Amino acid sequence: MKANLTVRDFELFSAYLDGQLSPAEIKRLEEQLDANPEWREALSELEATRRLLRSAPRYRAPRNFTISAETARSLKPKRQLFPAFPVFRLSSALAALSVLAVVILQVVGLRAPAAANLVAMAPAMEAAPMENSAQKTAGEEPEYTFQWTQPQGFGGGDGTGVSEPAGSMVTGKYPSSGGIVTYGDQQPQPAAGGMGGGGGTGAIVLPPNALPSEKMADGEMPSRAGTAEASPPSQSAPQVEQPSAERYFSTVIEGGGPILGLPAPGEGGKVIDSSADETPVVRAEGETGAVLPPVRMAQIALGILAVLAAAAAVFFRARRI
Amino acid sequence: MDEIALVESARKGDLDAFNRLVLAYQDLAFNVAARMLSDVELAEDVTQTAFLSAYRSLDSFRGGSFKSWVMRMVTNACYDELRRRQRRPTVPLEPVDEDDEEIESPSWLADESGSPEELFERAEMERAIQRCLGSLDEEFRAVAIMVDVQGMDYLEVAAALNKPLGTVKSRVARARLKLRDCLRGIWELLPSIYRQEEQRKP
Repeated sequence: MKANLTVRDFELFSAYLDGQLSPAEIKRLEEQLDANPEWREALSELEATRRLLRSAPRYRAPRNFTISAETARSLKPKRQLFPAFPVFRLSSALAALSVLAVVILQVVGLRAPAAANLVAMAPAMEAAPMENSAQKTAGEEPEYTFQWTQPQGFGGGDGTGVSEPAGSMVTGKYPSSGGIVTYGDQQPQPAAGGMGGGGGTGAIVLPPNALPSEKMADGEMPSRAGTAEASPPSQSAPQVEQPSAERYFSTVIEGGGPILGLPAPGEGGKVIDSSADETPVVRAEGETGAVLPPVRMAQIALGILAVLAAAAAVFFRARRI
Repeated sequence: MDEIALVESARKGDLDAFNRLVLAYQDLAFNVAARMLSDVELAEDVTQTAFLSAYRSLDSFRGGSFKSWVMRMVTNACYDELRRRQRRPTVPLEPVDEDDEEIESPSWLADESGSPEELFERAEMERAIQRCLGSLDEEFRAVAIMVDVQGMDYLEVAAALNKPLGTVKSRVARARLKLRDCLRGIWELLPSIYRQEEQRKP
């Protein structure tokens, strides 16, 4: 290739040789050819190549490839095997639509049910620690303590400063740490009283070192008079962002420092995983998982349909039907 | 009877009409297959397979160029065979006689006229062309064979390969560039052929 010629130029030359250019393009190209001897030479070489290929010997078919009546009869039934094959041609589209429906159901359809499930899980989660507490023996591994609260009118400047969470304490064995995690139930419930002011439904997050879990299990709740007393200022109810249960379920908490999620001095690297092996959570999921919601069932059915349709598309594509 | 009428009759079950179409395109189909595969026996099988596929799929022919439609069957059968052949040895395109000697002027070549020297040079050129075509990727080879060797129209090739016209144009140019570099030696080795081709230049 000449240094100043690109593949695009050779595409023009090719189209020129095959008569595929418009009159305007031919005029422009011929002007450039007259101005550039190198272009003319390159075109000439390409033309010689084309001519040589055109002169290549042609073969005669070594025999006739006509189809006998017997062969034709044997072929006809094969065509009947897939009488509805135009339908199968839509397999790939069907697969794509099914997958799309699964995704849409996941994003839109399950958002509300998922929140409802959390509410439904609460009683199960409350019951679970009871059993665990009964099995608990002194001197065993430190407990992992959950505090389940409901909206109770924290904050709001009513001056009472004291409130008790309606939810029960949830305790369970946790193998690695005695950290405390509090679930703030954000679901508005009819029974929730005293909501107001600053919307202070915030979770109480207590430092594990400051509050022994045994005490928590006995139901002695810390006073909420002045939220800064039990938690850092950032967790003051009116100011703190409403923590969601989902967030706590999925957050890996590092360390047991006074600020949840931040390691206390000397505890860097100590990881408390609140999402992986929590007994209450697993127990709750196990109970709700026994009966799949209709939306989930539809998702599974659509997923299976997508896989089958995709397999059909690949099959018929391979057979070039 | 013209081609459209033959196709219509064939679609209605007239086997004779279909076979007349086969006779019209079997040389082209066999040439493309033989060039694509560099193997005469495989080309024969593939050509037969392509026409059988065409007969079975007549219902799916939606009009347009029947030639392009048949050539699509041929190229698809060639691609299938090339994938299968990756695990099998091939028979060279140049046929040999019983003593394994190459036949300089094979009987299946269309043009057998000329002096012994001319026939020898043509055979040399044929080998060079086939070797260079074989060095191209499948997609470029198919385009080069159909456009340059068989002289098919760009639109026919685009329909046969189910590719946009621009893709065909681009592939023709790129294939010619590679073939130019590959065939340069044959001009120097066999200048008389080149001169003959120059004289035949339209």
